Amino acid sequence: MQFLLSPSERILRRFSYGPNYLEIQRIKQISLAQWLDEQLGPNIRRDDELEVALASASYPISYAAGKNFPAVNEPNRKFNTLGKSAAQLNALAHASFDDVPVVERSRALVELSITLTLRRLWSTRQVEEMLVEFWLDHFYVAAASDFKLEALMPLFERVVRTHALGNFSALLKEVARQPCMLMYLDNAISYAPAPNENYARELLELHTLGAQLVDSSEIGAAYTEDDVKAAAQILSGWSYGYGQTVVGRVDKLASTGEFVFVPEWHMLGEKQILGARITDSGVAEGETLLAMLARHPATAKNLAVKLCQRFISENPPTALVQAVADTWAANVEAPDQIANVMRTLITESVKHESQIKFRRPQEYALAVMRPVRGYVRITPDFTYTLAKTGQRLFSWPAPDGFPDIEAAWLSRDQLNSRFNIVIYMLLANQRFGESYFNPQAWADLAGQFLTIYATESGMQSRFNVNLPEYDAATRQVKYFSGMQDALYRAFLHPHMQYR
Amino acid sequence: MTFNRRQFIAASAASAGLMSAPKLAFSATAGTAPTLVHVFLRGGMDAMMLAAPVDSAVYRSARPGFLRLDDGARLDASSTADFRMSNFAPELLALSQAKQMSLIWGVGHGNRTRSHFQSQEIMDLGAGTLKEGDNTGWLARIGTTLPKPELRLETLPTGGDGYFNNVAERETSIPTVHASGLLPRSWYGDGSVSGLGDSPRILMGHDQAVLSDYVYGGPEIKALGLAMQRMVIAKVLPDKDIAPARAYPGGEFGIAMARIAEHIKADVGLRLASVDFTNWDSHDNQASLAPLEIAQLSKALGAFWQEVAGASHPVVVVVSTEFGRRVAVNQTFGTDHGRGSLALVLSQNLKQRFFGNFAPLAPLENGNGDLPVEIDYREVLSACVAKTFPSLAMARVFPGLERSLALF
Repeated sequence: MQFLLSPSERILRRFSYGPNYLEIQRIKQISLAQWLDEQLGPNIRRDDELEVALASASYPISYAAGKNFPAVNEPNRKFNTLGKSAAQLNALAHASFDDVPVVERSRALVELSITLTLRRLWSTRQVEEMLVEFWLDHFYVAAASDFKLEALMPLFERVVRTHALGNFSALLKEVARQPCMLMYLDNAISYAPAPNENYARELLELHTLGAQLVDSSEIGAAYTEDDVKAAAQILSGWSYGYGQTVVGRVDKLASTGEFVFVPEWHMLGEKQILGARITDSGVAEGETLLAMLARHPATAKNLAVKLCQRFISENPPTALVQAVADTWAANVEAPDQIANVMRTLITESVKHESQIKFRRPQEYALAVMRPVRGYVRITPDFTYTLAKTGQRLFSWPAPDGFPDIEAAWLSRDQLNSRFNIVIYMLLANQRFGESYFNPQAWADLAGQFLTIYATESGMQSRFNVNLPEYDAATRQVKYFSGMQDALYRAFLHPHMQYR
Repeated sequence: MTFNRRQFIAASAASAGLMSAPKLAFSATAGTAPTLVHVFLRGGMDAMMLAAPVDSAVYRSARPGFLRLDDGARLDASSTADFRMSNFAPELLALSQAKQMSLIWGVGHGNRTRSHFQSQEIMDLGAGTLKEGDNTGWLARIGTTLPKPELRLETLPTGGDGYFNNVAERETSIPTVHASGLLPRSWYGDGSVSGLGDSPRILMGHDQAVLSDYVYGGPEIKALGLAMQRMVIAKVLPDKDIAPARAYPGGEFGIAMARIAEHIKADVGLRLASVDFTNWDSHDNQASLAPLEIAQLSKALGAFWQEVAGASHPVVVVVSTEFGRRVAVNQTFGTDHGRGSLALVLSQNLKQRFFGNFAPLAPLENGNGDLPVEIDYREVLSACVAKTFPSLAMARVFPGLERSLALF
C-alpha cells in the first residue's frame, strides 16, 4: 500500500490528527520551514477556533443527594475544573465521600478527556497535540482507575503540555514531582528503610533508559537490579502534601497538592547508581539522579526509537532513529530540545515515504471527524462509542501506556468498534436520538473528504464515482447519487487506517 | 435529507452490487474435542497471598501478621512445612481437595529480569528469553493450527434491530477466543481469534468490495487484511440464550469466565480461550488489595468449573503470572518484584494435587529474597497443551523446551 501524496500532504498525514481542506491549502501555500516555525515555534499560530470550541463545551452531570450535598441534574454544565489550582483539585481528590459525590471527582477527568478530543480536532498546533498524547502515554498514569487520580489529572496534563515541546530534563523533573505520578507509582508512600520500588523501576525502564537487559546473551544493559534499588532509596521521601501524618511530627503535612520532600522518610547514606556515587544530600540526590537519567545516552536512544515508532512506523529505519537520537543528544540542555528533535524527525521523515503507521482507534475517529469538526457534538453516547474501541482515554491498566503496535488493535471486537464509529456518524442512528449529521454536514463532509482523499489513487479507483466540483466558498459539493456510498467506502478504506 | 439505517444499507448494497453471499463454507464442527483455557494474572501475583509455609521462620520474620496466612486452611502439600491456603479462596480449596486442581509451586521464567513488561513478553511469546523465537505468541502458534471459524448464512425474521435488513451470519464454530480487551502478545500472529464483545454488527452486510480493499491491499497491511476477513462475520452466540448457572463475581474477570463457559456449553467447537486478569501489581497495602483479587479469582474459577465440569468434552484451565513477589514486605506493606510464583491447573484428570518443592523458605539475602524459580512456566503450559491438543508437535508451540510436567 502506498500513499500517493505530495510531500507536504504526507507530512500532514503523519504529523496531524488527519488532514482537512484548509490545512492542506495552507501547507501548500507556505514553505516547510514556515510550517515548522508555526508548529514548533517561534511563530506559533493563534488558535481562535479552538478557544471558541473549548469555551462552548458542556457535558451533563447528575447525581442523587448525599449526606452533605444536594442532588444535581445539569444537562449542560460548562467546564470549570481544568483551571483549578493544585490545592483545589487536591481537596477534591481527598474529600470525604459524605461531602463530595464521586462523579464530581471524576468530572475533572471527563472534562479533560473531552478537552483533549476538542484540542485534537481544532488546534492548529497539531504537532504539539500529538506530542501531548505521546508524553501522556510515555509518562502514563492510569487515571481512570482511581477517583483520586481522576481529580488530580488536570495538574499532570498541564505540566506535560507546558513542556511538550521543551526540554526533556525539565519535563522529567516536573513529572517526578507531580501528585498523579507520585501516587500512581507509589513513590508518595515510599519510606526508608524498605522503600517502595514501583516508581524507581518504571522511571528507569519506561521513562528514561529503556528495557533492562539482563541475560548474558544480551548486550547493552543500561542498568542492573541494584540500580533499581538504589534509585528507590534515592527517591524515598519524595511525596506530595495531602494532609498525611509524618511519624514524629506534631503537625500533619499541609494538603497543598504540591510536591514535598519528607526527610524523615528518606534513606540516609551514600548511594551508588549507574556507576556514579551520590552523596547523602536529601532531595538533591533525586534531582541529581533525574538529571543524570535525562542526559544518559540510553535515554536518547530509547526516546528516539519511541518517537519514530509513534510518528513513522513500528520498525523505523535505523538512519532516521540515529538522526533523531543525535539531535536529542546535541540538545540535552536546550530549552527547546523536543521541538528541535521534532524538526529533525519531520524533516527527515520525507526520505522514508514508504513507511506507514497504523492509526489507533482514537486517531482513526479523529481523522474521520476533522474535516467536519464543526458538526461534532460530544455527547455521552459519543463518548461511549469512542470508549468501545478499546481506547477510552486514561483507561489502559498498566504504566506502559496504550500499545502502539498494530497487532494489539486487531482483535475483532476492537475492529468492530472502530468501524461502528463510522456507522454511528454516517447513519444518524437512534443512539444519538437525533441526526448526528444534518444535510449541511453531509454536503460539507463529502466536499472536504472526497476532495482531500480523491488524489489518492487507491481510494479514487474504489469510489467508482465522478467527483463533483468542490466549491471552496461554500466548502460543499452538490449532492450526487451514491454520495453516501462513496463516503462509506472512503471511511472504511485501508488508507484511512494508516498514516 | 434524512435516511435511516435500513435505507442506507439498501442504497449501499444496490449501488455497489453488494449483499452477494460470501464464499464461506459451512459445516457443524461441535464435538468432543477438549478446550484449553489460559488465565494470565497480569501484574505479578504474590504466591504467598494464596498459599504459604506459615511455620517457616523466614516467612514469619519477613511478613507482619496481617500479611500472613496463619489462620488459613492447612494443605497437605509438604511433610516439612505447614502450607496453608488463604481463607479468601474457599472455592480453590474445595477444588484442590476434590483433586480437580493442582497447585504448582515455584513457577516462573528463567530470565533474571524483574520487569513486568519484559516478563510478560517472554511468557506471551512462550519463550525462555526475549531473543528467542519468531515473535509470534504461543497461543497464536496453537490457534493457527486450528480450523478457521465457519459460518452459515441465515435469514432472520423481518424487523431485526435496525442494523440488518434480514440477513445475518451466525458462527457455528468458534475455535479460539480472547475474552478480555486488547489482544496480548500471546496472540500476535493469529488474525482469526474471536473476542466476546457485544458490538458485533459491522460493515453493514457483506461488503466484499470493502473487504477486497484490505485483502488485496498489499503485504504491508497483511495483518489487518486477515483481521478484516474475520471481521465480516457477524458474531452471534448460537441459537439460544444460555444463562450462567452459577454466580460469578462482578468485574471483568468473572464476566469473561462466564462468557467462556457459555461458549463451552453451547458446543461451538471452542478449543482455546484466554483471559487477562489485571490488577495483581501490589506494591502497597497488599493486605487489603490482594484478597479482593484472590476472592475474585477463586469465586470465578469455582463457578466456571461447576458449569463446565459436566460438559461433553474435557476442559483444562491453566492460571499463570509473570513473576512472584518477594517474601519481605516494603515499608508500605506491599511487595516488590520477585521471581517465582505459582501456577494452578484445573482438570478432571490430575495426577497429584501438588507439584514442586514445598520446603520451608530459605534465608533471605539482603533483607528480602525471592521464591526461587524451580519449574519453568513452559513445563506447565506445555503439559496442558499436550493434554488438550495431543496431536500437536510441541516443538512448534514451545521450541527448545525439553520436558513437561507430569500433571496428568
